[in-house]
Amino acid sequence: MLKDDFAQLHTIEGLAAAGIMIATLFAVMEGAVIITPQTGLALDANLKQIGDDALAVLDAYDPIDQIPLKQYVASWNNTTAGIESTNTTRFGGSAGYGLNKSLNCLLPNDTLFDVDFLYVNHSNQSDITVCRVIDNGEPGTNAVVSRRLVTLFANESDYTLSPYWNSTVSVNDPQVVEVRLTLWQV
Amino acid sequence: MAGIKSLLRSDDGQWIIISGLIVAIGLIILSVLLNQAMISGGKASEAVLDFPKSDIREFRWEIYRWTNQNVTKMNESTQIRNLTNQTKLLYGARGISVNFSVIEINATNQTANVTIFITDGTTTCNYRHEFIQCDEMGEG
Repeated sequence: MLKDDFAQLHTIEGLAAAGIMIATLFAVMEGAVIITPQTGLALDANLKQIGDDALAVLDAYDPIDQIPLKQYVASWNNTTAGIESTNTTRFGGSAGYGLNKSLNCLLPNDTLFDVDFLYVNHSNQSDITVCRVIDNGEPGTNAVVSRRLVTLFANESDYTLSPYWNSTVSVNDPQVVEVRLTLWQV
Repeated sequence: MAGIKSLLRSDDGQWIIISGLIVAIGLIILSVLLNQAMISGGKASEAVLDFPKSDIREFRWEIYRWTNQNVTKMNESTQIRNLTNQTKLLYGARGISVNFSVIEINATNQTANVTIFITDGTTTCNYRHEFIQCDEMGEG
């Protein structure tokens, strides 16, 4: 049997098929290497969309509270609130309603977030002041950022400015504040 | 050798050879399709993250709000300069260039005609004649 030379083409075909299968396997595995970081990208895009939506909900007009996000920014008095802090009613986490609580409701349970306010200090028109408003720790490596602009005008009856903003906002000098929401999954 | 020569001349088992070839080509096509499907998912996510959709929408919406808040104040150069300075710095810190100017204000009809420009280098958005009708905006 070992000496017969029948079915040579079948043998060659078998070898060729094995070669093609191995080549195909390589092609698929090479693709999988590229796929791994892309899965992370898809998660980032999803998380950013969730953050944008949360800010959009807070930035929508409500007949009773007007724009909640603008109320939060207007009442901010240059303080930082941790998750357990109740140093300002509007930003504290454990009592009353506040930005912290609103965002906790709007964002998924496995997500942590920080909130910063960025604005141009009027005493020096070329510097941006960054203030951590809600601090839940250092963002993870997979953190994404969503932003929303809020403009504070002097003498707006629906939005009472805090003493801090009252000292900087004037009739011809409105204050543009960027609300920066940094969120990451844990 | 004579045996191999006769085998090479033999035309038996053609269907087996062709079916083997078809299966092999099918496998290659499927693997390419699988790769393309996965890469397209990644590309879509990349496009979502790169395209400054929310920045464009946000800047434009904020100008609508400024106008709606007090349309006549949009005619005052001091206020326009202050608002422009602040937004330029806030967006500029992220590598985005923005600008806006007022072409015409009509306080009686509560309308404004403005230009809005925003670019991040890759995507440029230029609204040359943005017509804002305050009454139609509603609140917010």
